[in-house]
Amino acid sequence: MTPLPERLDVASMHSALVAPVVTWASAAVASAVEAELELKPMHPGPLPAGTHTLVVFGGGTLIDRAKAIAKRRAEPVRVVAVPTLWGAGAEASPVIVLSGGEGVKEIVVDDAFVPDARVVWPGPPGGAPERLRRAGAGDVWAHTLEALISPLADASLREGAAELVHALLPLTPDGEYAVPWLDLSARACALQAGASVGLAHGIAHQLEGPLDIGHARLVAATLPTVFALAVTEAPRWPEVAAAHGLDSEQISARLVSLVDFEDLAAIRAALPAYWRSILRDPMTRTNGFLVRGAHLDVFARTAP
Amino acid sequence: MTAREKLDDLLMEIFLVNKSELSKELRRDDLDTWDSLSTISLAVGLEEVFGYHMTPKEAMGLDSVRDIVWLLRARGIELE
Repeated sequence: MTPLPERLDVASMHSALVAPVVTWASAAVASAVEAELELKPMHPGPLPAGTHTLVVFGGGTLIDRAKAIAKRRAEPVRVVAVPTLWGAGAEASPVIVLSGGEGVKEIVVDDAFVPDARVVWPGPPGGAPERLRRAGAGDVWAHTLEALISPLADASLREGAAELVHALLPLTPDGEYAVPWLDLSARACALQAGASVGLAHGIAHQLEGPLDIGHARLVAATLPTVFALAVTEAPRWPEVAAAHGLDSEQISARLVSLVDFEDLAAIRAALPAYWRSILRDPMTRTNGFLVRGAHLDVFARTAP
Repeated sequence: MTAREKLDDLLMEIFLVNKSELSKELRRDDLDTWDSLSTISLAVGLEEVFGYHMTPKEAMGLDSVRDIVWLLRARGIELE
């Protein structure tokens, strides 16, 4: 499993920022970063010569961009990542996903991209819109469950994923649980990096461009159906569930509570046209059960 | 469905080929859909359909449909 970066809270963050420091922040939190944390965000772009530390406040997209720019330099810059929502786990991941033109994504995996530290900042994530909090929670669940049944997972990783399942079950995506969500999100992403993703991510990868629905929303909407398929089709599931005391129905109920039904309706309408490309997507092809053409019908007829 | 039909069905799903394209002589080099990820799908599919858990060494040694048939036969899974 990819080692987690150093965990900081807001109080210890400032001592970890070695000058010269550059700060990036998404538009949603830039004012709060300046007012509450006394850091002045710059417009994301090339880093000034001599930069020692880049602290980035944002979602997965901005954190990945920061990782790419900071770590691809001849002399890499230290990255302190502050996620403003749980889900993507970019603050703990060796993966960067960069958007190119026409919906094309560049995905690169390298341990050098794991940030040097991550900061748990509960305020802004807890205040994110409910729709995004639910979607982010779905992404955390997807990382966990896909790692759990991944054909590339070993026993130790499965044990870690099962522990995460038990930790996630009691949590609703409410602001009061921001800190545990942020910690579990980081653990799930680090875990998943040691295994693989699967069908939920394959669908999201293919539909994000055409539907203009964000990654986490796509994953959250399809995950209950993907999980239902896994329960019946993944050869490992019965053994894994029994070994780790996992209740399929309990998990399923929690996943269904995270679904946005508007998103699901749009996904169902689009799936037939994209199913072949979803079958061929590298993320689908490392799924914990073999995804077949006929599985498209399951999405059409399964009502969460 | 016979065991051979199940295998053919599986291979058509994984390699995205038609029945007419599938033969024992079909080799990895003949298909751009037979790559390392297909090998993972094959491992998952063989476990699902035949209950056989392929080792990584076995998986890396598969270069043709004939190899797959021989592997299953060697593990006591008769296909014909």
